[in-house]
Amino acid sequence: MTIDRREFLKRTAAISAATACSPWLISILGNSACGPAIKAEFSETQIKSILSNALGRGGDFSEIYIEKVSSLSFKMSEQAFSAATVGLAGGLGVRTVDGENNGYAYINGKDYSKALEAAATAAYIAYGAKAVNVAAPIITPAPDTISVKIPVESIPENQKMELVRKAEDAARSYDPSVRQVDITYYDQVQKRIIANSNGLRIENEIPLIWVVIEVLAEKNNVRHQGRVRLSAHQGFEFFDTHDIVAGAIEAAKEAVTMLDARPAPSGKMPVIMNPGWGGVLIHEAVGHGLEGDLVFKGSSIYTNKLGQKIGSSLVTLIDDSSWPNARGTTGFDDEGTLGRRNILIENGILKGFMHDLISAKKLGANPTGNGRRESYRYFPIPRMTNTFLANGQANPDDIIANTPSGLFVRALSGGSVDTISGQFNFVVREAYAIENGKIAYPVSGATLIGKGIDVLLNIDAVGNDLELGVGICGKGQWVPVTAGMPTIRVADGILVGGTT
Amino acid sequence: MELIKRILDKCVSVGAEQAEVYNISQKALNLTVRDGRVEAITKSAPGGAAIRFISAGKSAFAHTTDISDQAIDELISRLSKLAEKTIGDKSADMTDPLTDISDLDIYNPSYADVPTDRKIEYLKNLDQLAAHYDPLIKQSNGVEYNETITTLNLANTNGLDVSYDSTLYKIWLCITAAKNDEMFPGEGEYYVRHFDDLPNPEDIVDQTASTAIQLVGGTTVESGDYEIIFTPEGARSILYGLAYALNGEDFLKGSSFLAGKLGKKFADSILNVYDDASMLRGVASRPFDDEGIASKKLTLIENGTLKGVMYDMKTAAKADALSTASAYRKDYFSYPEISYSNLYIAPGKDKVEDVIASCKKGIIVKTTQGWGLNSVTGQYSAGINGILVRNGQRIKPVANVTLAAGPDDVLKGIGAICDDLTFFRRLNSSSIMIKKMKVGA
Repeated sequence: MTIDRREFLKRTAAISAATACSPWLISILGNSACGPAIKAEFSETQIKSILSNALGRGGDFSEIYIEKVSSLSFKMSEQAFSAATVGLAGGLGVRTVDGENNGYAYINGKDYSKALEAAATAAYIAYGAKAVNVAAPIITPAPDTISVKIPVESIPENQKMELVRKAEDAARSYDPSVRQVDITYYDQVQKRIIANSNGLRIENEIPLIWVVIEVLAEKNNVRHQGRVRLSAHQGFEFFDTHDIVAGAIEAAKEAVTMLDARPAPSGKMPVIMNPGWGGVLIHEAVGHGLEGDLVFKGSSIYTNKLGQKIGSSLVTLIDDSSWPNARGTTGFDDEGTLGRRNILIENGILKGFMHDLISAKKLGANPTGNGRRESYRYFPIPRMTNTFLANGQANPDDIIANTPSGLFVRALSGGSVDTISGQFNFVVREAYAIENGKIAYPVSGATLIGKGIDVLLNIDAVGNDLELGVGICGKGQWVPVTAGMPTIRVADGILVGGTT
Repeated sequence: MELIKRILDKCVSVGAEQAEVYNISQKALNLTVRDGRVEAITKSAPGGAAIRFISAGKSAFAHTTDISDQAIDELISRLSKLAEKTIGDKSADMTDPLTDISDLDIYNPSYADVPTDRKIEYLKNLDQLAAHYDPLIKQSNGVEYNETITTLNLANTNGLDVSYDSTLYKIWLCITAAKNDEMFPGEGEYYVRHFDDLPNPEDIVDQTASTAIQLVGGTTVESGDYEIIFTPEGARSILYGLAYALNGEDFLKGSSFLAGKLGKKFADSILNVYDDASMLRGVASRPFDDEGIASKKLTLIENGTLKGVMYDMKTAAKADALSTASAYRKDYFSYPEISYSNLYIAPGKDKVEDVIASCKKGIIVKTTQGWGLNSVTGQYSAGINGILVRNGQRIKPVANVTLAAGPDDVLKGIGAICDDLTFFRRLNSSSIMIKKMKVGA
């Protein structure tokens, strides 16, 4: 049995009846209840005390972040279900911001006296002699960029398992060379409440679905693992539009196709990227360098380059945290700034950076809704959400046809960037040699390296087939993101490292 | 502990044949100093409980930060129903009681007790040393200190009931060198169980800043075959792949390039690899693994021959072998899986300066990007930064090149293993020389 959300509210209603409900919480939750236990613990007066405590030594503002995540996951491996897991994690973090400095303390659960202690710890960061006043609360309604028709927690586990089993069957029977199929299913419901000393009060509850399909094929002692990932902040209706069986077959097809791969060539050559998760190339090579904290700390090669031409005129890069239901969408960021569409690069000109409250203030910009955290165990920092290259005019088939020789990259495993040197690297999972304007044969073992700025300047064709791909981004903390692009060609600037 | 007993009793009352509780409580402090001031301070008391539940040979897992009666009861009720649905899961039996717990000297809270202001002074000193190390240093990107004090309890319905305390201190720093518009970072990361085991601040800064200074302004070299001298940091690109390939689960499934090679020689005879969770003061040492099996030193590769792989209880049962005490949980909420503890390539006798002196055409690889050794295929592929060597002389910094090798070429082609092994991370190696690898430019 899952804990039905309505049932959950009913139970906590009984607790909250005996607790002073704050008006803003009641207004957000409707008249059914004072909400889950975690919020029922705090009245507006208590919230104000915590925020005041956190500003006891001064500071610019203080903030309370309350989170509760209820999750389910399981894995299908070797045709059996394993690691079936239910999780319940909840806690509260108090932050004091003084200039660009963060004082932070968090606790598990919701104990008020411990929350006050956490606030006193957070206050330690500030050196001002005077305490700062806390503003009266103003409730901000959460945007509806994440809609849910069928709550994930309303679906019984065996229905989810059945879905996974069908996908597993499809991948396994795709080809005799398929040796292993692993499918991981994860869903969660995350509740967030943010209150700060400037009066901000905002909350929402959003689901997340994350499915990873990995298929290993083997023939003549050659192995390849194909992978497909599906994810969105959406209810279970997600699977009406994202066919998990088709995903499994796609992963199997990749694994089997790549068994016949020849060793990848080495050297500089034109690289064509498939639409979708290939956008991670831009995410790593360029995106991280546009995060406000790295910019103001001088750890980005894009510091002081606002308004300058940093890419070919075909390059328009956008970070859009308001893309409906996408994996990088949050409604509002983890500081309460509403999600929005931010143009980072327009026709090759650097237009803006991605900010949290601190970096926005430091660089004299508006907050962009990019202050994100992995959980209540972390304070927020500038992060990407849904980051993609905008569509161009070219027909994707023409881009390939107009390339006499080069590398067509269909899937990357992952990569990273050093924002200080600007160097990036990617491990290529699925790629093909291009010969005479045609995709000729699969190649394996390639690594792509280069500098972000060289890639941007050398993009000479952009297709009209934008897609988002789903992934995880790490920067000391993990957050869900999408990265996207249409088909693009990088004429020069990427070094392919193969084994031949 | 009351909580643990209550959880186990509750599990049994709803039909568990076996149940296990894993509980950690921690105190943590994190400090970041940059530009001579405290940029961030985080104090916390993380932790939580995890429950494994076995009924009719099928299992389910739960984790929670909420240990109230109501939350625990609801979770256990969900667990019993979830276990029924995990069709086909063959869970291993849980561990028997462990009586002898060795003292590995992994608990020393004396530095944690030092006032925060003194820790800040220590960090400010490191930050200043870094910023003023050399004219080529543009800035210190910050110095981070982390301390974690952990109490771990593990108990099950077979009568296992064990616990231990540990401390872990971490220093991280990043220093940027700049030359003609080019920037390059040096990054240092040190973990110790006793704060006093850290190198002195001057050495920490020297090791970190020298990488940035030596590598800044790197340029490409001609493509071709080169002798490659991996520094201990560079050698981690081999260790990662090796650690995954030695994971018993991947090994059994065939998704390891070592699959089918048990007892066979697949690497140069000079190669010996161990995983030792019982090392005194080791950063990943522990008296027992996260399933309650006593730790011991594992011989994984001996004289180039594959001697063993790492197993937890479940995978060992499949392989008809014994657990190697390699069950690992990243945190209380992580499902136990197979991982290494203090994994290392045993040191050899060579001096790294001698190896460099006798190198005719090679590259000293100090940092790598990308995966390096691929645990599935055994191929090596990475972007690298290093120093070009000609006739024993360091010529110039190298950048914008890739390094590659076929499935057998890295481990079969080891020419020397040096004597400069240290243990500040979970994966450790001395400098290693590979006779021939392909550099792409």
